[in-house]
Amino acid sequence: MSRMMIAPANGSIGSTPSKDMVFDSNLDYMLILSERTDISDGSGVLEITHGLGYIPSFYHFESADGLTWYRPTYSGTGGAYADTNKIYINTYDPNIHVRTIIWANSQDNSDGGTKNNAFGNLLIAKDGYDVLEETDLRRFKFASSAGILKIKEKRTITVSGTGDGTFTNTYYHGLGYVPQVYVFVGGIQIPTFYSQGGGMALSYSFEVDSYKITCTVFTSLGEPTTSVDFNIQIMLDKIA
Amino acid sequence: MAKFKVLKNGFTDIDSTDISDFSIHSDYKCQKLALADSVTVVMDAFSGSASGVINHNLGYIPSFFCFVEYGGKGYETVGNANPILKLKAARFFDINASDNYIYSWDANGDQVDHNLVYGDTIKFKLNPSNTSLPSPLNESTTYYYKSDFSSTKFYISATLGGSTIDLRNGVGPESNYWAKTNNFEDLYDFYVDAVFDIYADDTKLNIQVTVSDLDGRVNFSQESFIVRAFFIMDEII
Repeated sequence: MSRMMIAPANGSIGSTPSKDMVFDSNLDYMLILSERTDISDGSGVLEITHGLGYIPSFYHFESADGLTWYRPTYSGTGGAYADTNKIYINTYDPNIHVRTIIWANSQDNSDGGTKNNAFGNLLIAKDGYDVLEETDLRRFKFASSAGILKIKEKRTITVSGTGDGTFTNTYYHGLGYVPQVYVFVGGIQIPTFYSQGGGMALSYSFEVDSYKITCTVFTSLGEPTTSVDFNIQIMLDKIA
Repeated sequence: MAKFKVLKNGFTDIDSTDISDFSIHSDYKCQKLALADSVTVVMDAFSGSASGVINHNLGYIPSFFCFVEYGGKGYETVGNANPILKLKAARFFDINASDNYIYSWDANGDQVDHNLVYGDTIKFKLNPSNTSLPSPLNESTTYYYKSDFSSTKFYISATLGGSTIDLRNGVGPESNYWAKTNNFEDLYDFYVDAVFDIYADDTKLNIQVTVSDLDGRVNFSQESFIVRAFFIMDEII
């Protein structure tokens, strides 16, 4: 089986671990099928038709002004979900900008075979599939018709404070556009909200615009000090 | 140094300085998948909780994308309490020890038909204000529906078709014990919220589902969820 590898500028094929390679055809990827921005109408649920016939993986960001973006938390039931025809995003307010990344990968990671959406001048099929015969992106490791998220950098931003309150820290990414960012605290994907009752709560959140990423901790737990490390992966791929 | 670039569909400038124009650019790492896997978690009818893990064994805490499949829908997960899914819950039971029967009531406190049939099982649970069940009942034993006292009240036995258990020598006031049965039936169109907590450590993804249990009185359907995760081949730190 042939293998295509691209080493980073400071690495080399054979010595650089797979996870640090630019690309390795032995691995699988999340293939971006489409990226779109929609505006909520205030009806409660924003419906995005994908028409794939299977439940795709997806990820979304929201913005009130189209400039500063965040990941929403939901206090009620539901949230954001997909079925075989649409993606449904609970957005009760009107004029909320919703950026949705729809991957060709189905949520169950099945190989499919019925779609005709793999094309381009560079195609790499998954093992066991003929690159000249297959047309369904789910059977490909790579197709130049689909994007792959590219990592600009990883960074830890520490948010600190004394007593109860809202504390922030900002990192200037310098891209000039709003990048996709994936943010974790420990192994938990941000945002989070913990309510401990009695008015005691703790939340972690973030916002990103074309210049900076701002991480926020709100605490009313009565702790003397707060120090939280936000682990941020900044992509070169755009939200806006 | 030679560069390897593949433009996204619709872009034509191979010299573009906007890296988001490219599917691959050899100056930047692509986000690679380490593995994709799933686990089915099933609600416990009596405890109102479910848990599971998906092992990745990467040795570091990876970035991940995670989804919860339920009812033909695939929910995006966020943070520590999403998604929140509505589950049907039904059946409240109390023990009337002095009159030797169990009775069924709804979420509004009204007695309703129990709808149990021969072969159905039932387990009992103390409420927080009691220290023991009426003799000879205990929390660890599964009992059986025996026969009707009325449409809302019934007797129980220790074995299928066995003799009626006599509760009248038991202690405790009536209406202060709770019970749950295998006979889940959506009698009351009554729902509770199931809340998902999902987080990764350096070997696995941990999933915990909890529901509001109304102090242990609610009987849950044994709903199952499929939690699916894509683990990225890159530590989050």
